[in-house]
Amino acid sequence: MKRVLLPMAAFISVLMFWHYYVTLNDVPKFVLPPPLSIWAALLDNVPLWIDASGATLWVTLQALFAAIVSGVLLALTFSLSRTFEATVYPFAVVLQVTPVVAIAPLVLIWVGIDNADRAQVIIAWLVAFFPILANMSAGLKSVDANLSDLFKLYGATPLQRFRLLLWPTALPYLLASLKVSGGLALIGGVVAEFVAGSGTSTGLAWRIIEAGNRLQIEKMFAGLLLLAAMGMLIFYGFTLLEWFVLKRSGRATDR
Amino acid sequence: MLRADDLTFAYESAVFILDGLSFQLAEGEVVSLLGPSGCGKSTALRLAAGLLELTGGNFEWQSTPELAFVFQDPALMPWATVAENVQLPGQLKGKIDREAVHEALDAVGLSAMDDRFPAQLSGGQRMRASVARALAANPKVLLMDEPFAALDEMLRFQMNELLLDLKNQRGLSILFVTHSLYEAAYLSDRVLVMDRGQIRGEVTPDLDRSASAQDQRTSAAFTSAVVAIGALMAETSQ
Repeated sequence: MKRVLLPMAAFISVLMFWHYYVTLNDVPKFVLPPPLSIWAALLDNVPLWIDASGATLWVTLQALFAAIVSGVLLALTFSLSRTFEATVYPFAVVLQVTPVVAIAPLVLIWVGIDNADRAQVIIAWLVAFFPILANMSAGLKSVDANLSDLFKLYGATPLQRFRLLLWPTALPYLLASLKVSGGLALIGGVVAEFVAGSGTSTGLAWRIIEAGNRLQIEKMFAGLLLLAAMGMLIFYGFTLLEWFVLKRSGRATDR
Repeated sequence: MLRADDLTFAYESAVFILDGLSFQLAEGEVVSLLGPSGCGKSTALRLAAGLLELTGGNFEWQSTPELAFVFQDPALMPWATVAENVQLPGQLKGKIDREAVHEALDAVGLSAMDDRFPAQLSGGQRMRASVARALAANPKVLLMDEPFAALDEMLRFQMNELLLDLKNQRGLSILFVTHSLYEAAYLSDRVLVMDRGQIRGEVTPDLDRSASAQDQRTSAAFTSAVVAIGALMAETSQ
């Protein structure tokens, strides 16, 4: 209960401070709008926000799905061949450490500015992919050596080994990485939309840019609010999934 | 049952962990390997299980051995219930013998806890589950690598008695690695003291198995066995 109430109380305090600061000091609306007009901007354009949020969420989920499939498969390949891992891993690191903002224009050129949504998915995938690969790899390496010997002793097939030993061992690592990668996929999608600027993108980021160009600051804030909410939704969604899956397999820690 | 002849083993480095080790395990016999850390006793056990490849020498089994292995660490799957853990050997061999699983759980007194997860068990219960998993494989030979080392003394006594009961009921042959002189003296028909990859000496405790556990542990035969093992241990390079 404390975990919900404390952040709520802090949030409401900040909002109240914000409201009184802005109204008492006559801060211009195009610098910092009061919270109530942001709320109004949100309510005035509900269909638009739903469309934009849907577009952004769709990009994020596609990218995340691709990241999970590719990250898990590559980690599995790594676990089968150390040579392959040593060869390929540095390239995965290069992708991770190169700022995505710098890669985004290139991706846009390759897929064509008319396919901004496709570029978004690719860029979001690029940033979401690495934590899944790294965690899944670590998970596969953390297999209990004695259990591993036992599987050998009782003549386990490679498939049994994967299904009954490797996958359950790595699962908590994978679930933890989803909390990180979910947020990163959202960021990647937004970055791509910012870089694409105008054109075919229809997500929240574009709505924010558009509102900024028109000096509708309260609309910018409304868009930001939705992005933040979406990020929280993804994070806590995966936290819940993690808790549920681990509880079912007797491994949940009480939270 | 098992005859080990002139075993040698070395990892890639040229240091020989086993250097001409020979011993035998007869049917229904309990043989303990005892010795200072690094003397090669665990390595010998892993070699017997086929978990490591011999560098030289060979194992001669009387027939195709049905083996089970128990580690010092219970090595249970934390995501699986006790019953699921115990049925693992059968599952891996492609046929789960429900009867064997049930009997194994019964034998170690965990029948009522078969749906618990390892995290919900005490240390002693986890070790029992680990022993049950080995029994469910219907083994003829049990290879045990310091299985009770992490348990407190009272629990260790109980597990020792349980193990002897199981051995008698099922006619098991047991190769047992331990650090404890007392455990070796109580459990074993023969105690082999190892040093630097070889057998240094052998002690035959010869306890009166018809007596109670308490009487066996306080008998003169037990005391002299412990003393004899201790004397051999003192000669080793620890």
